[in-house]
Amino acid sequence: MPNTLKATLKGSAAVMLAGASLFAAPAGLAEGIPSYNLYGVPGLIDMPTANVSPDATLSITAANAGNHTRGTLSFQITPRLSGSFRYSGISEFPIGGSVDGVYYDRSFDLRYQLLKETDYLPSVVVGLQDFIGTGIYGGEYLVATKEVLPGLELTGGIGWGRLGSRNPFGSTGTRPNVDIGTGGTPTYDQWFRGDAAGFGGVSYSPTEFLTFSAEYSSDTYAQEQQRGEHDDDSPWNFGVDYRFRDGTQLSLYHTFGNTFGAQISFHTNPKSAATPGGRETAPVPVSVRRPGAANDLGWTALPTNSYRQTLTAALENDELVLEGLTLEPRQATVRLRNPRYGQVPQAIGRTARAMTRVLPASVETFVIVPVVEGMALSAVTVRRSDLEALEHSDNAEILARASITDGFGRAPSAFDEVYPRFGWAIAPYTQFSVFDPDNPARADLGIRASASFRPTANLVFSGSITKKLAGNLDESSRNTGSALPSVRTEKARYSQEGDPAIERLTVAHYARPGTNLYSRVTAGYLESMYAGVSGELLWKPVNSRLALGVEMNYVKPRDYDQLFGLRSSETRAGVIPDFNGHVSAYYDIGNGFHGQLDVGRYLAGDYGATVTLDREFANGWRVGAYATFTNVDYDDFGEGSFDKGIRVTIPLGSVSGSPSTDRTTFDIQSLTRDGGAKVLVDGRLYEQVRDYHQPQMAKTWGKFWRSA
Amino acid sequence: MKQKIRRSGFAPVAALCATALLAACSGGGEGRDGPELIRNAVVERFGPNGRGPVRVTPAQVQQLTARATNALILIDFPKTQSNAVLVRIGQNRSVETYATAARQTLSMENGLLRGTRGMGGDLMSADLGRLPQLIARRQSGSTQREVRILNGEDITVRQQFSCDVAVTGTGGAPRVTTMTENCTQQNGNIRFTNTYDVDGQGRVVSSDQWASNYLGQVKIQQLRF
Repeated sequence: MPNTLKATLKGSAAVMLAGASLFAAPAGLAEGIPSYNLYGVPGLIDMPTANVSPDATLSITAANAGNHTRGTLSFQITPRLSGSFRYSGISEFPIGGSVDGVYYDRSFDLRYQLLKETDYLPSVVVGLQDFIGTGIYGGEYLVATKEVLPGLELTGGIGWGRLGSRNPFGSTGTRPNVDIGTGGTPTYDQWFRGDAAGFGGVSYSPTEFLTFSAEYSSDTYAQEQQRGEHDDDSPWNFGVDYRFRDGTQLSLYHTFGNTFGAQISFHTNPKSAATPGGRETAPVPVSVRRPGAANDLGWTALPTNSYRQTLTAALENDELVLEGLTLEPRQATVRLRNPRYGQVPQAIGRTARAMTRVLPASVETFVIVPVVEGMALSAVTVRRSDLEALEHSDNAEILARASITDGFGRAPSAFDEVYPRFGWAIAPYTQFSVFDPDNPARADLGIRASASFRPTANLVFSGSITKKLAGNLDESSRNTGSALPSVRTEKARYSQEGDPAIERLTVAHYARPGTNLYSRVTAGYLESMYAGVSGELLWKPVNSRLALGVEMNYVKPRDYDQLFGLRSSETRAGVIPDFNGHVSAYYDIGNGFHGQLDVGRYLAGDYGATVTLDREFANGWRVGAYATFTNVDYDDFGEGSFDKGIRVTIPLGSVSGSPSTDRTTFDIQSLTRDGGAKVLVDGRLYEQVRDYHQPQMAKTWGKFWRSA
Repeated sequence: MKQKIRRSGFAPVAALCATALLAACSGGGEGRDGPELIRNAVVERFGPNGRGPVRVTPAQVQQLTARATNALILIDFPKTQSNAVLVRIGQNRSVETYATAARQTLSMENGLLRGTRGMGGDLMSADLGRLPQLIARRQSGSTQREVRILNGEDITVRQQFSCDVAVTGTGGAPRVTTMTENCTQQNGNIRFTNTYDVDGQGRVVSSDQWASNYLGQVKIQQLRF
């Protein structure tokens, strides 16, 4: 269900396991993926190359050399542009902000390919390293790489910043000092300024599994020498990479003339599911009517209950639910609930196939109205004779003949026995907290019980309780103050006292107030830290790329024990306001990109905007980044300066090869702070609605006959 | 298996779930398909090969043929070393659909592959051009075909081929004409060769056909028309 989209680095063990296997790339993926370096970007050893991974390659690298440990997540955003997020620990570096001599830091890189390699010209890449962090790894480069003989590559480049620290041959202006303060803002005043130095190297791959490399590094590790422990005995680094069949790279290095280093890189690509198209069971064939049978209306004089029962059973066979049916002499309208197929056209296609087998021959028009939380999301109309004629044709042909219109007022009412409906689940969960310098990764493991009760189609009472079994989330004691009310920073205390905890306990009402309109009202214990009332209205025409929404919340902070009590809104640094909310615009930009803009008031009473940009794949994968800018001064915000993060959404259907509506989002937030924070409400409308609308339906239409 | 536990017996089931830490349970359509998805993810990781090829024996095939009342085919995927007997479950004009007991289907027009389902990496649909006529008339000639598959992103990919069809021999008892179809991808480097044994009525009695890049070749034998 779309409500599983909320997960912020938390989820059941099932999800985590599926998440772990997502980096188990299908064979053949390795093709075209270059060697990655200690920074987790295409490179030699510590220096970058101008090699570029295939579009949409998603890589995780863990590396260590000397006092430097780096974990990097890289994504090839477009064929030429890539971005990286890195979390690193520098030991024996006792500067401000370090813990026991270890300095932890986050950094972001961007790389853009200016020139593609040709027979005569090298590939050329320009890179910004650590360009919005504290700047400790800050450096820019222009690098060229050319394969001169089969397997033999030469690389040469110019570096600035820390990549311009050895034997600079020139200088371009003056470079302001590194600002290791709160960090988090673009260091554009430093880019390509100051000393410039050359670096280069050579790599040779005698087989596709093995690469030897040597490089001349232009980085003297000046800061580490000066303020920590680093011996720069040699500018020469040497390495050997071994590449497994699935693309995994394992490397050993000799670095700085005195130490050994190692790294491992895993690669996956949202575009390459393990089994293309999935391995779900086949749909039933379309049943073709006998010529002339369509004129027989004799059935209309008889009871029609058996059609309903047979269709219910046929849909059950595909794990779909027939919630309602209107049968007319020439038209049938189905009210459909889809708990199974993440690719909605597949659910529509399987329903249409079942209808050809069950319904009387005179019924020519099929209207399928998918319903979520009682809301009719769209109405897909197909002609039965088109289904018969096009069963074995290109899926584009049936798409051209189907019409997708607003579902408002189109759904037949639900059968009496469908509601009330009760559901429950018990599952393990894990919850993570990362990037706390005292302990960079913490986790809790426990059991979560959840239940829902729907007295009618539009009304749902639901809740979940957690009981911790093991973990150390509660050990966090870091509370670097901000000048804002503590709306999120008391997380550790919630973790300490909330065991067992009522995570959520709400009543929610969903409706269609009019054409193009969707509404939600949720009241109760909305999330682990806040209780209150949340209301939302969404405008989304069924064929529009644009949607607009407005959300208003009235909240009170919950007691730390997360049972039924509330606590005072007064905190050490101010009062948590009762009201917050946003207006939102959602836009499908095309070419696989999707943007969202939220403008409004955040939990701590700060005003501002959140910009989100995702690269989305038809199979449900998403890789995106967001940033929130509010009227809080960077200094008042505290570490990180403003809220930003990256997120990866994984559809379990694509990972497992078996259809599922489940998806999990791994949200890597730079740090949980009080500024730019939102209340976490379940069941926000846009994600529930869009899969059943254009342009999303057309993107996934290949699955219609895979109903088929 | 997805756990089909429903409302009855809630308490004991809940207790069982709570004790079995890594087993997620649910009812009434709530919650995730956890266990099934883990199992599938593991299968995806290590491949169906881990389960070994699934084969029916010649004796079983004979038995099934003797008992059959519907059309029947035997298929064999050399790539996975799996074979299966399929029974005809549907007909849409000239296209017949055959299914295994495990809900995998194969659709053919006079024995010529038009689509597969439930096999993974399926052939979604195919436009065979003049091939059905050439085969039925046992005539040499050239033709075009377009096949459609889903890529890893679930987007339809269309591949066009130029094919040459030739009569390459006759023989056997009952007598069949062997025909060969050589196909080369336009704007690509996929090549494949299909062979068809055609009987006196122009029906394909056995064949060796390319299904998709993922599935590879499939041998099809018509056990019963």
